[in-house]
Amino acid sequence: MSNNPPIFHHPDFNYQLFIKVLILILMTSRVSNAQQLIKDTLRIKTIEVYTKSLVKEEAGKSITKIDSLSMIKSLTSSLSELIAQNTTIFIKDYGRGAMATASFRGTAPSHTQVLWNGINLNSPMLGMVDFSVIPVYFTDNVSLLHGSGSLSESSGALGGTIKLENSANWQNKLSGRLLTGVGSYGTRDEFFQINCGNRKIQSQSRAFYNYSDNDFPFVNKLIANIDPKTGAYLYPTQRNENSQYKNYGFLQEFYFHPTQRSILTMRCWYQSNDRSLPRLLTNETDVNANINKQSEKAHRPVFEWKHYGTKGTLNVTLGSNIELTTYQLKTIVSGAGDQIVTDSHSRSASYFIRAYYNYQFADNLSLITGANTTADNVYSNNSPQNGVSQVYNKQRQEQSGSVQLSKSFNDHVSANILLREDLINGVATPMIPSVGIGYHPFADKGFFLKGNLARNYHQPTLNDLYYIPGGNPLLKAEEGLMADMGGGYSAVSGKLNFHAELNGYFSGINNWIIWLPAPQGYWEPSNMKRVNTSGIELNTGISGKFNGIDYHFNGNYAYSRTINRDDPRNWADESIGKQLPYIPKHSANILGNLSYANFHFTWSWNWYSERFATTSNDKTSALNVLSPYFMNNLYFGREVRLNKSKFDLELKILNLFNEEYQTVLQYPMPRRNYSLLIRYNF
Amino acid sequence: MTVRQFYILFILSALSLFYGCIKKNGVVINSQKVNIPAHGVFIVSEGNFMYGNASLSVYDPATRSVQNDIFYSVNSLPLGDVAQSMDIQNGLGYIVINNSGKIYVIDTTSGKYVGKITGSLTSPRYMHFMSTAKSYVTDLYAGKITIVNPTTYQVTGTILTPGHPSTEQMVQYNEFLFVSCWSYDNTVLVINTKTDQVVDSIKTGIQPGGLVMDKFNKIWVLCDGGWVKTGSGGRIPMLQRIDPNSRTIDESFSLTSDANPCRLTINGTGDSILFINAGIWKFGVNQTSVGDHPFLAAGKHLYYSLAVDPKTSEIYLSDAIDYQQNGIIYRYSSLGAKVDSFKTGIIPGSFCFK
Repeated sequence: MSNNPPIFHHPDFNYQLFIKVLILILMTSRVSNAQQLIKDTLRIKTIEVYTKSLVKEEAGKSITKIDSLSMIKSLTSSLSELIAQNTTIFIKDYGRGAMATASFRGTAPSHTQVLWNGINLNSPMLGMVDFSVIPVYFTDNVSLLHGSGSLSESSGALGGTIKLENSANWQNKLSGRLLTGVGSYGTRDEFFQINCGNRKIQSQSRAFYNYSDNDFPFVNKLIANIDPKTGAYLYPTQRNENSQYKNYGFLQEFYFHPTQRSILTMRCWYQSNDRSLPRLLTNETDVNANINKQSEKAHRPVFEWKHYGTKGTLNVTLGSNIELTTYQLKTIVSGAGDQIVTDSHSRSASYFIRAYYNYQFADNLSLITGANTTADNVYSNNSPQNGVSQVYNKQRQEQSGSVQLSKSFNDHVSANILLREDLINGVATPMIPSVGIGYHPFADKGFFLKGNLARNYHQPTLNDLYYIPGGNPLLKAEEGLMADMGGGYSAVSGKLNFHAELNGYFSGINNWIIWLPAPQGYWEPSNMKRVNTSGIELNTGISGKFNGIDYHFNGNYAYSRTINRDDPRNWADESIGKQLPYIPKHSANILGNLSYANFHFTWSWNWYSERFATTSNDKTSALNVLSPYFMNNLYFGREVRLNKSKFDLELKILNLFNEEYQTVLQYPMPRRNYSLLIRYNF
Repeated sequence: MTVRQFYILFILSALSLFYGCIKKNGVVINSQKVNIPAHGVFIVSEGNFMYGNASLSVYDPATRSVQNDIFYSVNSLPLGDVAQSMDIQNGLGYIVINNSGKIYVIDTTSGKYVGKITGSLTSPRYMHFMSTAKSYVTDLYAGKITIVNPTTYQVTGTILTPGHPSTEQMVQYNEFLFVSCWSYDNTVLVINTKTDQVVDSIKTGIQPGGLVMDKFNKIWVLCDGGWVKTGSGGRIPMLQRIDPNSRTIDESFSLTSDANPCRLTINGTGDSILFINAGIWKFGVNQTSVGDHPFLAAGKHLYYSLAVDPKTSEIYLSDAIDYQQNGIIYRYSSLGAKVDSFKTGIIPGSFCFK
């Protein structure tokens, strides 16, 4: 009987004085004149929108936007750091530069969808997204659609959807930025962007390169030699070997204004990532043994056309997400050459066509209709040593249509109802409905209450269905029934800006897919009877000016209960009624920023409560529990202005209190380390 | 308390809120004493692959009590990732840790860590003792057998097995070592232990894993047939008998193929073989057929491992439940009557009788 799960399954983490925030307003209904419409869109500068539930289309939905300050602070990081430090989503980080997966509202990584300008970045093969390979640099706007708020985009995001969007500045003639950084462990980061154009056409080009030796030192307290004289333990000081990473990418965007009413956008994103998973701290094999290397290449071309009519806006997107991945595990044996243990190649390609039409009958009534079609194509080749290649080559077609009716009844109440229907390989899923209500109980519109009820389905991934060995083509889709309730308050008073939002959610997910060993000796997926998720999400922030100091604080807290309600496997099964592994009950983060004159100072704090590695939440052995995680980072910077351009120098101190910690059992993590960043904006 | 004292206390507590919350993973400062019974049964739990949570337990058949996680309790060190097997020689227990590239050596009276064998072990599986100065260690994919000195804990040599990356279990007959090549292979190699060279090979069924010698000096090998859909043709798991003198297969029994036959074991008197094939099958070495039903039906269990007490012939079975929580051990009499059951570590994989 093999104890090895399939390779993919195991499972393995400077700014400006004036805050400018970009919002792209696609739907406008306030202006009757089309010309006026376009002009307003062009002239609109920057406002932070906190009173989100005023918008009838968003009534009842939980939508949070990551503010521009957080974006700037994490500009050189991957999406995993941005999400971990600024949202209620839990990120499971396998190490510095290594894989990172998300758990949104306590759900599985495949239940969080990531959309980039309308195209889905989730792998049709694995179902999930590796957040460590998405550079924050390639996106301008990040927003989260919690839970059923994601249904306006697509089905399947039982936890929620993260929307990444890019936009152009039509006022731009020539501008750009350069970032260069050096950091501990031989780390180099280079970022470059140049934008040029006029009122009719804009070009934005971005490129990045980052590399690290990643050989951070640590004292390994999980292995020891015995001192022959005293009998005491001698813990070795080691370095994180064979963990270099090298990532680079390019993004080219063209924005056209062929007519006053339309915008045509072309984007092309190419990226390459090369890295390895770190070895466990208990591993004492030779440095030549068990060397793993993973390489990913992605091609993402997208075309988008937006047309602004008098009452309606049409949006058509065509794109594809093509990912090529190779993974190799080998041992160099002296006298015998390279022993290749695992050699895996996969190619997954998804092609999308989406169309949305948003028609505003009046200020208080609108209808949004959408249709999309996706073709997924996966080729997976797994060559174990000495064995026959295990290959599968499968396709899947998905069509989805949705209709959303939104109405504002009066100044206080607005509601919407959404219906979505999916066709998977020609077979229709049951109807996917969502109903939401937003309510302003007081004259002060800053205060709101909302509620939402919905049903959602998540299809099995192509690996769940067809992986060799073990794939189960008879798997049922995961079905979730979700209820949301929340409220919040936001206010602006002079320079003071405050917002707070509290949401509670309950969701019952049937047929949750889980991989378990089968009597035949390999692992295979099956549908669990039920998993109940429930929790609380709190998001709050305050910013303003005090005694000449600009301050900005943002905080998040999440309480997540994800409970196994399956049938017990036998009389001794202790997993029923327990939290699923690796999902923390409590998670929180705070990002605080102060700036005065040309100096700025940022502090970032992150906390996760203890996490269990077992389904029974066993605490009798410390080997199966991850202690609570506290992480503090500190950034200092100074800005220098030179005519129209600006330099900014920032020093980052990561892991400020030099903590020894693990986020995944027995994977090494770095102690205090530094990064120096120079930004140049012109 | 003065106002000043109050402020100092307040600041200190605020600071400690950040600092004091930091707990270091995996470091238990106080080690505990463990009572290892004189005739205990060690249970080696593999833990989850890449979780590093393998553990060691010891069961006292006389008092029917178990102590779990003893390696960690006594030594304040984790056992490692996927503990594969354990053997006792001269009062020392040798635990082979498959995915950590080492063999931990413990004192079998106290459970204390006294040494380890590392270096040149890639994915070690099983150990075979020739003498106090020589042992062989097989490997899952390195294509070699490592020779170690179990007393000095040094690696003293290697035997390369070109064309056969996987070496699994070993049985000795006179000066020859028979080694099964399990993973994606169908061979049993013969090694001359005087010259440490591969001298012969025997073709067996697909994926020969378990290897045991019976009282008539015949070697039994259990071939699991490989996985369905691996392109190697139909799955035919087999129980085969090898004559070590002629080095040929002189008996071959086909087994039902709905599960994964594994854990070939022999009793203390060398006349009764047991293995898992969904249920537990028992086979007298002189039988002419395997029979059509198991000795112990699987029922609702997913049996993971099996062992037979060499002195009492009692049968120990493990059930890993969902493979992500502590497993169960069932203890049966040699006739199949349930004697006891208890919880142990995660994925209990092998047993070692003291």
